[in-house]
Amino acid sequence: MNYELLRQGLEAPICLTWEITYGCNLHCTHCLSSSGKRADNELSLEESKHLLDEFAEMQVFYINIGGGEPFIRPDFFNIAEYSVQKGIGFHVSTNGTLLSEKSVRRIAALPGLRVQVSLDGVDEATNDAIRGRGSYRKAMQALALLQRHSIDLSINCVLTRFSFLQLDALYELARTYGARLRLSRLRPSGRGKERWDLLHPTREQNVHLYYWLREHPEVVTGDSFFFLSALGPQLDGLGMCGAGRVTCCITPTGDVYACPFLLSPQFWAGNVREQPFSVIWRDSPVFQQLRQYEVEACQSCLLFHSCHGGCIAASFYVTGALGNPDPECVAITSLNERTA
Amino acid sequence: MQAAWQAGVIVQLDHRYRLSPKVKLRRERFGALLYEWERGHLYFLSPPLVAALSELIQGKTPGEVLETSSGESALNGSSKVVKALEKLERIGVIDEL
Ligand code: SF4
Ligand code: SF4
Repeated sequence: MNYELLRQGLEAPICLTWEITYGCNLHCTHCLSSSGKRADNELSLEESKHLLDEFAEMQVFYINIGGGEPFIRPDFFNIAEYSVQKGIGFHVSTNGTLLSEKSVRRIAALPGLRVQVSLDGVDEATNDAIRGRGSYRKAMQALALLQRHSIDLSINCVLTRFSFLQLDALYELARTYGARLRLSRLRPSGRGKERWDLLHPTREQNVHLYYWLREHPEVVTGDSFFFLSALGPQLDGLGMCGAGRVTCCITPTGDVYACPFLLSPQFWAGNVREQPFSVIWRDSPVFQQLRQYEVEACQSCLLFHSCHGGCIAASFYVTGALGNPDPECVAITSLNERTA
Repeated sequence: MQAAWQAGVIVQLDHRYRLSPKVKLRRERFGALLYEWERGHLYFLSPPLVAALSELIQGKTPGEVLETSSGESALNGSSKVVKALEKLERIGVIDEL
C-alpha cells in the first residue's frame, strides 16, 4: 500500500540531497557530481538561507548535504547553524580531510547535525585507489577526532566489487570508531559512468550482500539496495525508487533534479532562483511524469512488488533509456532458485 | 489510575501526552507522515489516527479523545484508537507528560 501512496509523490520530500558546492580537494574516480572546482554562481549564503526557510515551511524532515566537499565553503557553518535553528536535520557527507579540532567543536555544538565520512576501503591501498593518495590517512584522523567529540557519526562506503571483499572489516572498523556503517550503492552517474563496468559488484556479490544486510540490520543503506529485495523478504526502507516522489537533489547552482544520480537534462525540474522550490516540487512536469512512471519491462515480473523495477538511474545510464529493469536485477535466477 | 482495558494496552486514559521532540509530523493526502529522527523511522498515519493524535497533542487525554472519536461503532472505533495510541507510545512517538 505504501508503494502506491509514495509513488504518487508527497507534499514535500522526506529528505533531499543538497550539494552545496562543486569544490573538492579530492578527485574520486566514482564521484557522482564530477566535482573539482567551485562554480562562480553557486548559491550565496542569503539564497541558501532562503531555501532553508522553504524547506522548514514545507516540513522537509532532513537534508543530506554533499558536494563537492561541503567544508570547503567558508560559510558552511552559517548554513548548518541556520538549518539546525530551523529544525531541519542536517546530515553532512564529507571526505574528512578538512576537519580540524576547531571545526569539530563547532559541529559538536549543533544538535541534529550528523556527519558521514566517506571511506572506500579498510586499508590505504583499496581506499586510495579510488579516493586518491593520502585520503585514507586523513579520513582516519577525522574519524578519531569526531569520535573524541562524540559526534553522531557514520562511515560511508560506496560498495564496489573490491570493497565488497572487506564488508566484515568495514563493519568492524565502524564499530571501532563508535560509528554506524553506511553502505551506498555504486551508480553509473557522474564519473561513476566510466568506472561502472570495472567497479560494480558481481551478481554473486549482490546476492551475498542481501543476506549479509539481513544479518546486519544496524547497517544503514539509505535504501540503496532495495532492488535486492527480489531475493526474499524486503530489506529495511521504502523499497522503491524515490526520485521526484519522496526525494530530489539540488545542485550548488540551484538546479533541481529528480535525484543526485539523475543529473541529466531529462531529469531537470527547475531552478530555485527562478521558481520557489515548493512550486518546482509540486508542479514540475518531470516530477509529475515520474509520479506516473512504472518500469514497463517489469510489469509482468512476479517480483515487481518486491523491487518495483529497481533504480531508475542505474537503468537509465546503463541501458540508455527509461522503461528497463535495473541492470543489476537479481530476479531471473532468483525465481529459478525459488521454484527449484 | 485508569488504564485502557484492552489486552496489552498501556496508554493511560486519564493522562496527558505530547508529541515526542524526536518526532516530526507532516500532513499528507493520505493522512500524515511521522518521522522519528533518532532512528530514521517513518510511519504512515491514517486520517482517523491523525485526528486522534492532533487532539491528544492539543491537550486532551486519551479518554477524552475516545469520547469524541467517531466514524465507527463506539466499541470498535475506541478499540482501534486506543491500540493505535498505544502503538505510538510504544514506538516513542508520544510521551506521557
Ligand atoms: S524484472 Fe524488474 S521488477 Fe522484476 S526483479 Fe527485476 S528489476 Fe525488479
Ligand atoms: S534513481 Fe536510483 S538512486 Fe535515484 S532515487 Fe531512484 S533508486 Fe535512488
